[in-house]
Formats: sequence, C-alpha cells, structure tokens
Amino acid sequence: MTPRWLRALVRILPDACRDEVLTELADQHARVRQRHGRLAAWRWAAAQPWAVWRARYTHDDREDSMTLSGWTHDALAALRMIRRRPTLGLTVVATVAVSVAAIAAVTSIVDAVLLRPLPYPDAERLVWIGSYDPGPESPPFDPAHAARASSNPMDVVDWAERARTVAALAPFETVEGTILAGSRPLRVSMTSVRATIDRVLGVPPLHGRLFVEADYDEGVHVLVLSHRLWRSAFGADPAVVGRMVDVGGTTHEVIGVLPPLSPGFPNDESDLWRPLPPPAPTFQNRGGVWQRVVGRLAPGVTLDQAKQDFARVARELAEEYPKTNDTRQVHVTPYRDGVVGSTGSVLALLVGAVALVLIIACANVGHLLLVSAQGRQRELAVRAAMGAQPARIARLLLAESAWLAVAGGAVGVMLAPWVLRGFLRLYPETLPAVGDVSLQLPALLAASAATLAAALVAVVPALLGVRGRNLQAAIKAGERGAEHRSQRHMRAALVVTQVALSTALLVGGGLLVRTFLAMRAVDPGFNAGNVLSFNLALGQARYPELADEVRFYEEFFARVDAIPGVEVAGASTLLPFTPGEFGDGFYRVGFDDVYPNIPIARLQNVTAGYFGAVGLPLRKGRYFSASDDASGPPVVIVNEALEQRDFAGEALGQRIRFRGVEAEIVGVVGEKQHRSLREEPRPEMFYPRAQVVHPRLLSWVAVRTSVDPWLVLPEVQDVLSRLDPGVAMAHVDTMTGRIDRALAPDRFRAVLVALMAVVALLLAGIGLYGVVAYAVSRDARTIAIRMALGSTAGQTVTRVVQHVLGLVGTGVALGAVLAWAGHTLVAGFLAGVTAFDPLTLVAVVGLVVFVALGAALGPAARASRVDPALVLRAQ
Amino acid sequence: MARANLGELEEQILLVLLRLDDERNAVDVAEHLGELTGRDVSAATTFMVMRRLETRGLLTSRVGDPEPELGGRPRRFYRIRVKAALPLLRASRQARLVLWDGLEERLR
Repeated sequence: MTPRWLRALVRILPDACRDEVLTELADQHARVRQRHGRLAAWRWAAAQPWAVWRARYTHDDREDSMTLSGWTHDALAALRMIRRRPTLGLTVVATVAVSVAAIAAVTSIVDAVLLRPLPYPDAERLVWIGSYDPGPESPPFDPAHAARASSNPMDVVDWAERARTVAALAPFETVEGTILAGSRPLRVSMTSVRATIDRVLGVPPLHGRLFVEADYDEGVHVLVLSHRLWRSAFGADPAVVGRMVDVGGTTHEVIGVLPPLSPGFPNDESDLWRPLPPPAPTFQNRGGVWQRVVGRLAPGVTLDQAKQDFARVARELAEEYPKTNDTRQVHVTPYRDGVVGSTGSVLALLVGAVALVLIIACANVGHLLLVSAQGRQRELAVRAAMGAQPARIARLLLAESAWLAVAGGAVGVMLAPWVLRGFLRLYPETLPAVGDVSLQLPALLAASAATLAAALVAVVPALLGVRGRNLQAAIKAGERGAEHRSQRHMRAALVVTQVALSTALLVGGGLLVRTFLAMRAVDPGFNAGNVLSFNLALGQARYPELADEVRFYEEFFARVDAIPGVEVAGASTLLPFTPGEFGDGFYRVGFDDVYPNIPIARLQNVTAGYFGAVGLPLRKGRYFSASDDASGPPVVIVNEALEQRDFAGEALGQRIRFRGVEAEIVGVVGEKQHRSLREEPRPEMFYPRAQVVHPRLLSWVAVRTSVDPWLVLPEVQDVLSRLDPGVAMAHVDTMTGRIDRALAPDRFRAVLVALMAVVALLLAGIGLYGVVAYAVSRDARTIAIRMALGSTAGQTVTRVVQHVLGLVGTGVALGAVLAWAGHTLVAGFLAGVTAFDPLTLVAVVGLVVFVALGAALGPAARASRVDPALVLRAQ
Repeated sequence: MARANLGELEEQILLVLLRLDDERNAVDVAEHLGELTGRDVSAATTFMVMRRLETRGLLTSRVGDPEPELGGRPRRFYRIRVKAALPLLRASRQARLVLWDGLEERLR
C-alpha cells in the first residue's frame, strides 16, 4: 500500500507525472525497508520532502546541485524587479514603515501600561477594596476609579474581622507634607498605612525593616523611604537607616528603604510611608469615607469569591448600621485595573486607530503590487512561456512583496522611537508607568507581525490577479493588457476599502478634535490669565493653632502684595484644577432641613485676596474683608449654582448653619469649573480663613500678576524662605497651565486619532492616484479614439473624475456606515458634540472628496493632453 | 531552447542507463547510481530528471504492465537513445578530461 504521507508529498508535482512518481517512491520505500531495515526507511522518508521539492522546482533549465536554490534565485530576481521600479518600491516601503512605526510605538505603551507584570509577587492576588455610596441617579461603580474609592475606617476594621477571602488588608491615607533632609525643606507625598506593607504587597525592604506592631503605638514616629526619595534626598546612602528626619516639625526615625517599584504604591508619587494607627476606641464616625484600602486575597481565592464575600459583609454592616451603611456597597477590583484607570479605554482607541492604518496600508501596498503585476503582464507571460509554473510566478511576487515589507518594517522600527517619543510628549502625566515606556521585545514582535501581515496580505490581490489568467494571451495583448473584469473589481474594492476606512477614522478624529476645541472654548468661569499658583504645606507641628496659620498668611501676603508686578494674592484650601475636594452638608436657617436630607456644597476656606487673585466675579453683595476675622460675625459667600439650587435665586442675607455655627450669606460669586472643563459647575460655599470652623492646613496660593506670572516666582520664593525656611513650595504652575493639563487627555486623543486619520487619508490618496494613473494609461487607446472622434479635453477629464467620484462615493458611504457602527468607541470621550455631528460628517466628506479629486486631477489632465495620432500609431 | 550541455545528475543517469544497456525504471536507476557513486538519490528526483531527458530526446520510455506488488499500478521504463546521447556524453567527458589534465601531478 502507498503510504498516505507520500501521497500528500507528491501533490506539489504536475498532474501529468504525479501518479508515476508516487509509484516509484512507494517502490523505493519498500525496497529500502526490506533491505536496510526500518531505521533506514525512516531516514529515507525524512529526506523525501526535500527531494520531491527539488524534483519539482529544478526541472526547468537548471541543474539541482549546481545552482542557487529556487528561493534564493527568486529573491534575487524580485530584488532586480524592485530596482527597476524605485518609485513603486519607495512608496510601498514608506507606507509599510509608517504603519509599522505606529504599531511598535503603540504596542510599547500598551505593554508598559497593560501587559507588563506588576512588581509585586503574586500580583494577581492584589486588589483594591473600596466603598461606593450610589445616590438615586449615580452611575454604577466604575472600576477605573477603584484606586480612588475611599472607605470608612470603622468599616475597614469590620472588613478585616469578617471577610474570609483576604489574607491581609492595608488601609492607607495620603497627605502632602514637608520634610527637612539636611537644611533645605522638601515637599513630599506621604502615605500612612495600616498593616504591614510587606504582608500585602509582598515586597521586602531594600535596607532596614518595615513596620512592626509596636510602630503603631502612640508617640512612635518612624518612616520608610521610597527608593526615589532615598536616592534624590539622601544620596542613596545605606546608612540612612536610623537617621532622624524632621517631618512637619516632628522628628521621625528612618527604619527602612523600599526597592524601586513601578507602578509605585499607592502611586508613583509616594515618597515615604508612616504607620497609620488603628482608629481610637473612642472613634465612632461611621459616616465619612477617606481611607483607601489595598488587600491581598487569600491563596486560592478567586476574584468572584472575594466580591461575594465582601458583598455579604456589606449587607451585614447595612443591617447593623442602617443610618450610615444602608446603601453602601463594597467593591473589590484587581490592582492593575485601579492603577491603569481609564487609560485602558484610551489605549483601546489608539490600538483601533493604528490597526485601521495598518489595514489601509496593506490594502494600499496590495493595490500597488497588483497594478505593478498587471503592468508586468508581458514579463510574467514571457516567464510563463519559458516554463515558469504559476506557483513559481506566485513565489516571485511573494518574494517581491516580502522584500518591500521587510524593508518597510526595518525603516518602521528605526522610526518607532521617535514616534513613541512624540506620543509620550502629548500625554506626559496621565499615563501610569510612563517613565518605563520604551521599545521592548513585545513592540518588536508586534512590528514583525505587522510586517509579516503586510507581506502576506499585500501579495494576495496580485496573486489573485495572476491566477487563472491566460498569460500567453497577455503576450499578444502586450503591456496594455486587456484587463480582466475580476481584476478591475479587485482594484475598485481595494480603493473603496481604503476610502471607507479612512473616512471612518476621519470621522472619529474629527469628533475628537471638535471635542477638544469645544473644551478649549469652555469659559472656566474665572479669569485664568496671569495667575501663578502653588501649594504650601505648613505642617500641624509648626502651626498647631489656626491663629498661627492665619498670622503666617497675613504676613506672607503683606510681603507678596508688595512685590512689583503682583496685583493681589490669596489662599484657599482648593484651587480650580488642582487635585482634592472637600464637600459637606449644611443647614439653611428658616428651612426645615433635617439630616440626612440637607444640601451639600463644595467647601473652601479662603483669604480675603482669593477672589481677586483667582478672578471669580462678584454677582451680588460683597467679597470678604479684613474685618471678617475671628472676632467679627460669621459670614459666608456662595456661588450662583448654590443660590439657584437652595435659595431660589435670593441668597443674600440668608443664614446657614454649619458645624453648629450660624453664618450670614454676604455675597454671591459666579460659577466656575473646578476639576474638569466637562463638569457642570457645582454649588460652592466659601468661608473666610480667619473664621474657619473646620481647620485644614494644606493650602493653595494664587497670585495675580500684571506681568508674566513666572517672572515674580523667584521673589515669591524669596519671601517664603525669609518668612519660614522650613516651608517648601510645591506644584508650582500658572492657572492657564493647569487648565491646559486638564485638557491633555482630550488633546492626546484628538491629536493622535486625527494624525492616524490624516495618515490614512494620505495613504488612500496615494492608492487612488495609483488607480487613476493606471486606468488612464491602460485606457490611453480608448481615450485617443474618443478624442480622434471629437471628444474634448474637458469631456475626458470629466469622464475620469466621474470614475473617481464613483469609487469615492461608495467608499465614503461605507465609511459613514462604519463610523456609525463604531461610534460607541469614541462616544465616551466626546463632549460638546454628539457622535452623529453633521458638521463633522460634512467636513470629512468634503475633505475626502477634495483629496480624491486632487489625486485624480493629475492623471486626468495627462489623459486630456493625449495626442490621438501619437497613441494610435504607437499601438 | 534545448541546452547543449548536461547537468551532473543528468550525465550520471545517462551513464547508468548506458551501462545497464536495458530499459529501467527510476528506482533501479537510483539504486545503481547509489551503488556506483555512493550518491543517495530519491526516486522522485531521478524520475523527474529522466522525464526531462526524454523531452530533450535523449531517452525513450514506455509504460509497462500493471504490477501486482505495486498495488496493480503500471510503471514507466526508460531506455537511452545512444545516438542522441553519446555526443553530449562525450563532450562532457572531454571537458572533464581537459580540465583535469595535469592537475593530478600538481596536486599530488
């Protein structure tokens, strides 16, 4: 019996001799086995695929052992073909390079942010655990915000006791503070953490030790340094363990240093850690939420089990404490999801855009090669006539596309670092783990895959174009080549695909650009121009009493206001477009406000200069004055949103009660955007700093200037260091800079997607140009006959343009459908514009048609200048 | 289009057939070639080369009767056309002799 594998082997041979070769091989196999044994038969069998391959491909005019193998030969032949057409080659290489570079860059970002393992052992067991109190109209909990979800300290104690699915819980609180390392003050982000970091994160210290139970006792002041702070402030000195460091006026002992972590815990900004004591026995507040919690799941516990477990605990607490925990949910989220946040969806958008560009590039290259193959029909036909098998010609074409794709891929990889740098410059702060993004193995793998895809996909149209064609007939037809209908359809389909995909991409990019422009045009509600802003952390140890702090600011502002170029300066617990927020409920006097149904407002303690410095306009009444101090009657200022919501537009003279103190509303100011330009302005309430009922030390300062704000910075710094050398300035920026940074995500998305769209359109334009140029040269004879019969140049151009518009029209229509189908991808990023914005669609269609006509006009004009006599004689 | 020279494997196969002075199938030729030169040649390669030599007019062939041990399939037997092949073989031999002339002494 003939072995089946032999049957499969001879498939590659021509029909005429397949059976006979099979017979011979079967006989030889039987003889070898009979005479030399099974082992020899195996050896013989192993050699046969190569033998049959050589038998197949060396039977034309070359001796097997004396020439290059077929592939090498074809590769060299393909190289010669490319060198004969440098423009085509360069176009293809550039096309592939652009998309490969984009893919490598985007893959690098995706790898660093989403794929690279977290620096913690068994990181998949690390979770964020956070409370969420949904109001009647609140959206469901968003896992992207898991790292910011806060919880009540008493709840956390109960979780630790009742949950059965966690091995350890680490609640933590982050504050800003000033340390004195040596003589100069240094602003740091400090994280106080309960439970041992090493038990939750599983990271051993680099030097010294981490916290033990005794460190949580009252009066013990110890801290652990981050690797970064250890290097920048302590010169990476291992002897730092045991040193005393002043933190906000209290002396702390350094007990350990953590190894470098990326992403850091709880974020990259964390500079040092201190022990967070458990809630005191007298602590009974179950209402407020401010602690964040990281947990490590017990071994073998799945995320779903943990979710169910915590849901059970949340239900128990809701029954025991209905007043505070009735609607409170507890969410368990994988650590990475919280770290990555909403970056994932941005990256998905980016990957989608890049993939579309790659598809367009493949279609484009495929089309160029198809046209080139058609232009070479005569050459290919001659090869066929000389005995080259269709498979051989296919191999030649494949070799050609492989050369071009590999060259494009190589150029793309070389360009990738620049493209990546450009991407990162656009989105410098909002990406987690951004410092570690570089071209790594995954990016190179993705680039190779893209190159391979380009080589394989691009050759398909050319192969289909050659397959089944009577090549001998093509010799007679000559270069002009009577074009097969299927080929014409193929080229039309490729162009329509490109136009459709770029239209879809342009619509997406257009919508994002419109969003960005709309956001930039949003009036923030205050005058952001010429305002310098920064943060001061005075430290409770240095300024234990409110009066101390008030005195510091009085002195500070008296000196700052005297600086030439400074108009007015003020301080507040919050400034617009800075992190942080503090909201609380209050009672309206004369209304029947009953807890918990009381209005809630964003609260800010401000100095008298705040309103002028920020440029928040007064609508009614007055600003605060120097007489609104601790001895004066309590006063507040509200904004228009609060006046409308709570006092039906008549707030002036009304009284409110907050934390037992009754105050009169003496002014109404305008609304402002606070955290982003997208939000609706919220009800706000301002207290004079000197009358504060809820002291908060952390403070933001705004300085309005009549000159460039950066010019006064050195003198402000000078004032500060003279007043108190132990207080450091941090987060220095102008107000316009802050708004600009709030716009960064919008700008990032808009610029990148629009950039991809433009590249796509450019590629489509190149493709279209190729089609028209080819069609015109192919139809030169028809055009010449028409012109000889009296057709004008105008009519010729019109005919070409009509042809182009037909293709483009189909493509645009398909692209619009595609954009409609994919609108959910961008819908979440839009603001100030709907996903079906007619203006964007019209602009995109106009742009595509414009580019299409631009691409078509050159060849069309050439067609119109055809000299009928010349063409017809030549043919 | 026909080439005037012979490839190495072509030459060797022709010589084997000339020695055997009989009609032979591909496996026989491959085996003889193996015994005489130590060259391991697949029956597939041998068959395709002999097919090519036939189109060049250097061999003739006929299809034999169905053979039971081959599953009842017939196989093809080739015979050399001495008149056509000899000038090419001689030319090939001559070329080798000329090229080797005096070389043995120099390389000794």
